[in-house]
Amino acid sequence: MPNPTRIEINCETGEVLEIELTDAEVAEREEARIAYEAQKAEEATNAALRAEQKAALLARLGITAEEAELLLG
Amino acid sequence: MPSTYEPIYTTTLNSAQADITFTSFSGYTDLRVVAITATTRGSQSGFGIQVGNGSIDTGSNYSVTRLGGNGSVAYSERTSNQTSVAMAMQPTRSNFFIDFMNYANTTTNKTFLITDDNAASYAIRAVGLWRSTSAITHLKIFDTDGFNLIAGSTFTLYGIKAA
Amino acid sequence: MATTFELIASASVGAGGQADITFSSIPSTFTDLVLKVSLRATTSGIDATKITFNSSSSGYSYRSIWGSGSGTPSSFNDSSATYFQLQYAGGTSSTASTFTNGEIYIPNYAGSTNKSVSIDQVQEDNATTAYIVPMAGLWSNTSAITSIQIAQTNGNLAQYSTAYLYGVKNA
Repeated sequence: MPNPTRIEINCETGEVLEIELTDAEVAEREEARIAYEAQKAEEATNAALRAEQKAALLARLGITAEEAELLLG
Repeated sequence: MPSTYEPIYTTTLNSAQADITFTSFSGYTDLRVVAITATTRGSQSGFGIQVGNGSIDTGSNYSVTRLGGNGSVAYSERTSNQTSVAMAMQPTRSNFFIDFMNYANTTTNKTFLITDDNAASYAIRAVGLWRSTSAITHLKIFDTDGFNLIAGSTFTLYGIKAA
Repeated sequence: MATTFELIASASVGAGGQADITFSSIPSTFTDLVLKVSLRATTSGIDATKITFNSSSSGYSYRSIWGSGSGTPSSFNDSSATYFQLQYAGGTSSTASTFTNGEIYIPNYAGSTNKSVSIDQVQEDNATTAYIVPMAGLWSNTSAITSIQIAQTNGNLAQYSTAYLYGVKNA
């Protein structure tokens, strides 16, 4: 199966090149994809943890989120 | 009278592509990219912008500040020392506008304004920075997460002259 | 070389105000449309401006970011709107001689796909209320846009309001 291609346009001459990515470039893109997925997973975990901590704190203080915003605003 | 606002190049992708790079667009004061594109990924991906002088700069020389809203929540975020300026990209077509002011000067770092609109997902406005005082001679747009720009995507590069 | 960015038509509201501005018979010979507006309403308070295409009152959806200069920015969406709303044009109680500015960019307006729209709009009059509202819009209609209507929700467009419709050619 051929690798994905990229387009390079020389605006002065109008030449358009369709270039197949090298195996190294394909591997680099795959690494970028994996890193992105991992980062998003970590962000999701952190967001869930913060939401849990916030809910626990509000419950301990006996106030709603809106009341907390009023106090901090 | 010389034309103030000129299309330098326009293209519609016949097939999905990993990226598109424009070169050799000297002779203008400012540049505008109008891109209507989407990712081949089945969910949100990243719309990447890289520039360079002589070649594309893949170093950690980019930063971006974004203001966005998804219809429920507004947010602002900033990232620095990145290898590209990354926006969001959906599997459905979005409007992207990228404005480079004074792109060919050799005294300032390069700031550019970005619009990223997808009515089903968000409205985003951002400012990107390439930390280099070199003139921009190369411009690349790509999917940051290893996916492709869909077939049928359109890209137009406009040049704007101040005189 | 053909002109890339060309004025198609312009409108300026005279004394007494105007109910609406309509650009009709828009030629299909351009690639994109750019509508630039400077608006004020005849109402007392601020008033939302309505933008519609082809006199249609259906198929509009959008997501926007809303900043008023105080508090936390907001974000809104409407998946079944009857128009795109520019928010807001100042009225007679707003600081004199200040107008809301907006730009509406419509790529591929004459194509046979749904029409995506990017809007930037600002209203600032050195008073207590101001708005900046970027918006991503979609008109779910595959017809070519042949007319654009600009109207206020409750009042009229005030004198000196202007609208300029430009066509952009990509070749």
